[in-house]
Amino acid sequence: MLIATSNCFEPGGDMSHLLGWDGPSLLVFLPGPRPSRSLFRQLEKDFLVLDYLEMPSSTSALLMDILSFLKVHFENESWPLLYVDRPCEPAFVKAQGELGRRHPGDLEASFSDEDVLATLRMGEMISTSPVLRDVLSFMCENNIDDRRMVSLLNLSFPGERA
Amino acid sequence: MTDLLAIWRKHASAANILQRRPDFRFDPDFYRSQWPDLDQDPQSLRSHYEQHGQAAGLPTSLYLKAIAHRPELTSAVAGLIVDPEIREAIASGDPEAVHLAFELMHLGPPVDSNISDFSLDAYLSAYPDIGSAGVDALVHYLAYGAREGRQTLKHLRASQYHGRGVYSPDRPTCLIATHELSRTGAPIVSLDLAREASRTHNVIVASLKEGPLLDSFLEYACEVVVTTRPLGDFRHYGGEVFSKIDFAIVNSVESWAFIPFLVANEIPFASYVHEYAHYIIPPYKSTFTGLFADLLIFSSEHVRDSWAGRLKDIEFDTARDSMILRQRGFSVGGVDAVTRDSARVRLSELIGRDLSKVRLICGAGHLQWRKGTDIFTMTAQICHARDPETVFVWIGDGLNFEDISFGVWMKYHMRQAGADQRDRNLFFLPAGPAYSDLMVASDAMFVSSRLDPLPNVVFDALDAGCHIVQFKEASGFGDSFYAETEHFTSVEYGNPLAAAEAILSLSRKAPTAGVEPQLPPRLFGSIRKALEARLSAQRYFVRGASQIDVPVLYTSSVEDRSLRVLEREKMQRYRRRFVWRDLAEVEEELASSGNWTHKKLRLAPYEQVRRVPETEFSIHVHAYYTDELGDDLRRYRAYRWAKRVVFTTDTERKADEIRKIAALEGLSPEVVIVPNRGRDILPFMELFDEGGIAGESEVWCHLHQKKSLATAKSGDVWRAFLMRILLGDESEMSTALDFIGLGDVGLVAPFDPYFVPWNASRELLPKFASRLREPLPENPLLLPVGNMFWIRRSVVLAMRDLFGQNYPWPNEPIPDDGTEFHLIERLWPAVTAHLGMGSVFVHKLDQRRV
Repeated sequence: MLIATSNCFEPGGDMSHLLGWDGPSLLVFLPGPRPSRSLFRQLEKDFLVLDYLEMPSSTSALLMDILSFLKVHFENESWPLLYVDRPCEPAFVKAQGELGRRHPGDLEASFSDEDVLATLRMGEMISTSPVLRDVLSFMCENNIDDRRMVSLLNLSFPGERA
Repeated sequence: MTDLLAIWRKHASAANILQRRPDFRFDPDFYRSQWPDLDQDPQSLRSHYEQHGQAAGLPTSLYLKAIAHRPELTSAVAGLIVDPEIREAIASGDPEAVHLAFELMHLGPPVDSNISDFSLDAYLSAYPDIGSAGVDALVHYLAYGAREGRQTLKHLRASQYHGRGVYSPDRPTCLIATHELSRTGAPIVSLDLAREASRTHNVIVASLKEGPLLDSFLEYACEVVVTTRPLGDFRHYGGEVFSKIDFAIVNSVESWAFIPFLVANEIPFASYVHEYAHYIIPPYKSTFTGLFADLLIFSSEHVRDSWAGRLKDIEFDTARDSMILRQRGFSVGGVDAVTRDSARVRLSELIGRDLSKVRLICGAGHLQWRKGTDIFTMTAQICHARDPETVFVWIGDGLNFEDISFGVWMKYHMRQAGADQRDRNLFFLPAGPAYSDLMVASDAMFVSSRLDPLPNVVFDALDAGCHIVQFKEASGFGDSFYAETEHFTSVEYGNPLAAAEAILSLSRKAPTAGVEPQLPPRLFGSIRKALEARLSAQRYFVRGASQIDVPVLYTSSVEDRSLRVLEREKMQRYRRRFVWRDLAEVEEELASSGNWTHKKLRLAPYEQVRRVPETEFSIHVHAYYTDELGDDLRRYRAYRWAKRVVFTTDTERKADEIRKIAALEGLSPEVVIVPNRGRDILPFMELFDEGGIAGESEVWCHLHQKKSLATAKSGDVWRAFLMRILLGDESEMSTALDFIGLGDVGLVAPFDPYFVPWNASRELLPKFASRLREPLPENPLLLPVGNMFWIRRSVVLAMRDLFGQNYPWPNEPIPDDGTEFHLIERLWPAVTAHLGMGSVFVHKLDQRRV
């Protein structure tokens, strides 16, 4: 699943760079300029849409929301997960998808200069693991920052790196 | 001897207070509450007690203080304890054991509910007034609550029944909500659901009422709970099964009370609807069901059709979010001749008439208007004259000849029709063992129901090979799926003659060889799959608080804020409407609508100004109640700036009162006595009769003092909302008046945060729609909710024209919705647009609405 926040696309603008993802794609509209109701409907033809009216308290809270809303997908489907919170090229999206499929137990993250999670890739063994929900739930309860979140995910899912 | 301190340490440690309070007998915080100037340090407080407090005889804990005044509390404390170790210590007579028990309970959650039948949370949630009064909840319960019979965990736990279904953490958990556990239609469907679900799921059954099916449910469920307050009670039930409910099935609209709990916990659910919208009263039960169910499942097309208006009211996507799932498929059985004949012999003995050769017609169900037992009787009467060998037998309970609404009249009708006389053709049997004989023996069933979703008795009659005679448009069996088969004859609705003719033309039931019983349907499996498919297909999700925050399921209190966010998120996710999201949404909706009435609507922000208004205006107040009139006249400067103030009321006494109240404020209004008819609006519209009191005054503000608005606290808040936006305050004038002063504006009203649709007025629309220039919209979007507004004389005249002279207005008492007066409230913007003028809705989102 591709999770792209509105920091990596122009609401109402071109989304073609996200269409190369092989699997379900979710657009996360963070508070700010919103598309009209009709544009949302248009986008829903190609994407799942999560419309945040308030800023999520943390990235783990955002991911937890996604796991809750899309529970049926996470339980019944299988794919790598790519979270993107910065502008990106189509090639990046495509390449990350391939990496995710090649390394189902792998996890890789990058951060902005402000230590905010910029990208996170999880192989399908992690993204569809029933444990992921519990791990994220723990993180939400403890309101941990993005770097610690990634460290804890690495600890919880050592995968191919173990 | 029990080590009381060890028990204290165990719980105090878990509650994270052991360090501050190592001994239950000395509570430093309580002690300091008696000496507020002392240092907070527990050691210092202890020393102070030893040096000063002890000699002064000061208590060291709340328990000691409480029992000093009320020694009888000790037995109430002892009665609450469930922890075996503490119970044993109390039973041994150790006087400190009750002290320990009290102080442990006083620690609050989770200690209180772990060791006793008292929960601070549950008590305060059930009786919020105690919390807001600042009273100690435990002391309140022990001193008063127990005597007053107030509920504690003990009552709540007594309503939790452990079932024989084995909980497995590997299985998903399903909650089946039912309104009662009686042996009637919907609860029996709930039992079928629980039975099937228990094969693959952990099952919790929750019911609003007890009933005789409880034991049957316990066979399949892990837990059965009976509660009327699921939102508050569920968190106090014990058992791992409650920790993760994956989804729920709310069976019957009458189970709507579970919806606040489900929404608060984000548990997806399907509502299985059997009820026709016509008799869901009050309608909010269907509104809430439609607003929050992830999937609405109807038992027939006909039932779903009856919901069409209510679903349009909330902009529910029927094609996407609803489906039909009949509780049983269609099949026809039969009986062999021996079985049929022997059933007839037994029935003949029971009713005292030979039934061996007759055409036997059965009816079944509770005797009531809905089932049309009176029509069944009339049909029997018609047939008696034409063919006395056509015999009608009704089986069912419910006839109470002391019931003035039905039983008295039905009993008399039965007597006049010669019921239960052996030379007549109409017999009644109580529900019981004769039921299966009657189905087997009958040639046909006459379903005389006026509205009956999908009565199980018809399936039983079909199983026994009976033909079915029914009224068109009266039940789910009117769906073509059933009605178009050769086993059904449908006649004109409510026409006993047509039913009689159809019955008299029926041939007798032909015996058949034994028929294989039909396998029970996989109803639960079908609902679960459909719900999963619906959840999987959802592509839009919302998180966070939207701008407009008014309650739907919950209260307007600060404590419920997060719940209100959850309810709005869910409505917005499915784009169902009951509350506007924000002003931008309203603007967008108005801009995108092609309807001619919507094009004339606009929003404007509230403002107020100190200057004397330039626009000359009059105020009309319909004062059926005069309670708050004096306050109003003081509170709004506008009354003093009005050119005319006209009151209407219904008695001379009230008119005098109004004159006196106004005189005290230095006002001398015109007061007109009118009949109590047409709520507030007809008295206003009749001011505009030719030569009427309205005269040529052009701009009016219409207000009213109706009790429906002003009695309840929420009504007071709402009225203050309307008055403030329309009039301003004690020194300044709302600029709403400025808008009505614009030449092209005919109506100005407060913007209401709720999305108010046509509601029950929808049924009246066809009568008037053709008198307007173009078709009316699916929903009005904006209207003067509460029927208080600024208006131009020409708009009032146009509204009068719409109804014409001498319109037969309904008299009081009238229902709460669906009359011409409720329609008028919704039609003002359309009538204004009909004149080519616009309507302005003034928003002031910081003004409390609820």
